[in-house]
Amino acid sequence: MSEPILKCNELHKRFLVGDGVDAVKDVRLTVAPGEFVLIMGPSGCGKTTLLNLLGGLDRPTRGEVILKHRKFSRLSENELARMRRTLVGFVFQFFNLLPDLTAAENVALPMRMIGLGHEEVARRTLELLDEVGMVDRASHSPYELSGGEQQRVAVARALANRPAVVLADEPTGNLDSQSGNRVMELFSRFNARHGQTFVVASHDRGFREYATKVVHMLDGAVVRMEDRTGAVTP
Amino acid sequence: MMRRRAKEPSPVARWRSWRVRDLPRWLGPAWRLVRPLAHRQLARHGLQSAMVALVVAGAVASYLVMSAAGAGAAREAMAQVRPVPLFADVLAYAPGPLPADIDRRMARAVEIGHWEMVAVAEVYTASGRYTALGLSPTSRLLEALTLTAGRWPSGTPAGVHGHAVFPDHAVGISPGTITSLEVPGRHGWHTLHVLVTGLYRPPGAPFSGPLVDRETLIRLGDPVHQGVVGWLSPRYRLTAATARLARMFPQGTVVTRDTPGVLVLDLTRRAWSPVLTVMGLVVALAAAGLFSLMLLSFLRRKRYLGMLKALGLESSELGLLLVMEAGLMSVLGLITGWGMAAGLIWQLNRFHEPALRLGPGDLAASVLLAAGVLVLGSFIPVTLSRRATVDQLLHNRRVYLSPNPSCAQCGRCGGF
Repeated sequence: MSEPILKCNELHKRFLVGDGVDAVKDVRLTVAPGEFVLIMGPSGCGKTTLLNLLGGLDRPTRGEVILKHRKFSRLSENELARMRRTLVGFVFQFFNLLPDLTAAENVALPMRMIGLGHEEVARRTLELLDEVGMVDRASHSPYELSGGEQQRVAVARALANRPAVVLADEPTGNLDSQSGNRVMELFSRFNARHGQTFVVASHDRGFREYATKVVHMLDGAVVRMEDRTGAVTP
Repeated sequence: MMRRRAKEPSPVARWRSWRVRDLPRWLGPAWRLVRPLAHRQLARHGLQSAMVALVVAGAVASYLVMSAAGAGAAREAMAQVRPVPLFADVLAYAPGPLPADIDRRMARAVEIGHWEMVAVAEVYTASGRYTALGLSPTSRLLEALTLTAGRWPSGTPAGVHGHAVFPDHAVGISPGTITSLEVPGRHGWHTLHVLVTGLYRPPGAPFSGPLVDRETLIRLGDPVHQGVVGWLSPRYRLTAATARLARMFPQGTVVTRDTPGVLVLDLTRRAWSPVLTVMGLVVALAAAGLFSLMLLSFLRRKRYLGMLKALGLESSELGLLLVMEAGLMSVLGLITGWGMAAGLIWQLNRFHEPALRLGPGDLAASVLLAAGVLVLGSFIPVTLSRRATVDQLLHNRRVYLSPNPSCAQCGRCGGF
């Protein structure tokens, strides 16, 4: 097996609300390059918190996340931010496109953050919008797009800097089934064609067919991991 | 073996390192990255942007009008005293009309141990402090009128208050040892009667005595005038003279550098200057207005800022975005304020004689004022944006100026 691109050891997150809530309990997970990991579980089981920890949006109470040999605990807030802009792509349930910017500008923003030249940014933006089928809506504002279209733009934005891993938190949760399937097919296509690594959190069992690994969570803990065939993996 | 824990840098050290580290980024890539976002934001929220500009414009216009009015009042006041070419370096004024002819030959310099009263009238205006130095027409110091050249003593400490005169006959006042009697006057004037014990005419031989700081004496040796310039010891306390003055002027307050609370007195006196009071209020109100608008902008856009932070925008870049938005509007406000002030002064000059004027110094000061308002108004919102985590911003949780990391998640006691 190849070297894992993303790894977490004994990852634990406790929120100090009331008596304290353990949102993620001692999670161990390894993600190999090119894997499509689906994290499943009911609402409130800790999927979002786990993704936030994996993406460096939040810090664990204990445990360690290692992305491409970089330990998050050793990074300052600014280093984490720089790591997010280069190594991680995010797709959120509510799209989180910047309302002031057009679709193309939203896709271009991560590339501008890492200082790519104008021409390369423009070329790659068009490429990405073309790949997600949104090139004809490039100059539209997010509020002129449907939910499915916004999410496709968000996918293009997440892939803009060719990140090591794309983390998607309930990417279809706010979409109708047709749009949801289209987004998942996009993920699958990028995974198959470009070897892009995905970690997707969803409670939709229908998406298991896209995944190479399925992680089941319950009450903050990983209760089972299985591969595409349904065989339980360690 | 115990591992030594790395020492936490102090907040000051963190701030300094942040400035040094971030400055090149702020002026380079971050600027290019953030500028279009700021432009877009300003265009989208035009009303709020206009409010920021209006707040700054109001402050600038108020300042400029007050400044012009203050300078006008000072000019009027100064016009009431007649200049006397007393010393080459210190323009002196004699309050009231001077006798047509002063018998200058009668005048004598004051020797050490004697004293003379010099009236120093101070006018505080928005454009600076005006000082009028006045002598009685019968002053024995008028012998100095024969002087044609003079200069500040080379040993005059920088930044000291008071006046140093250094005319031909080696007459000097030690700024550090001036004892003054402050008598409140009309129209914001304060008359300072300065005890000029330091003015003296040196004898033919180099002067020495208990009042003279020998080191200063040596330093001020003047080969040109072949005389030794005496210099009162800064350490010398004019206790007896002060007591004598206090007895002579029971209605006044004798102020020396050793008077307890002299600094407070000075600050209070400045604060009560009507021009400065209004100026302070203007700056405070404008800063409060800008602060409110920027805080509102920050709180309304927490999710937006959270998205940017999630995508990888650094805290400093987020701060730059807010500063740039407010800064661009402040520049617009500054220019608008200049226009408003020019219009107001033009209107006032239709009824006011002599005409109020604005100088380059006023414009420069108004730039500083706008910058000050920007810094004061944006400090807290920018700090909040820098301290907030992605989670706090994206999920609209409370944000703290001084977060308590151990319990910042709960939102009830996460800091201040």
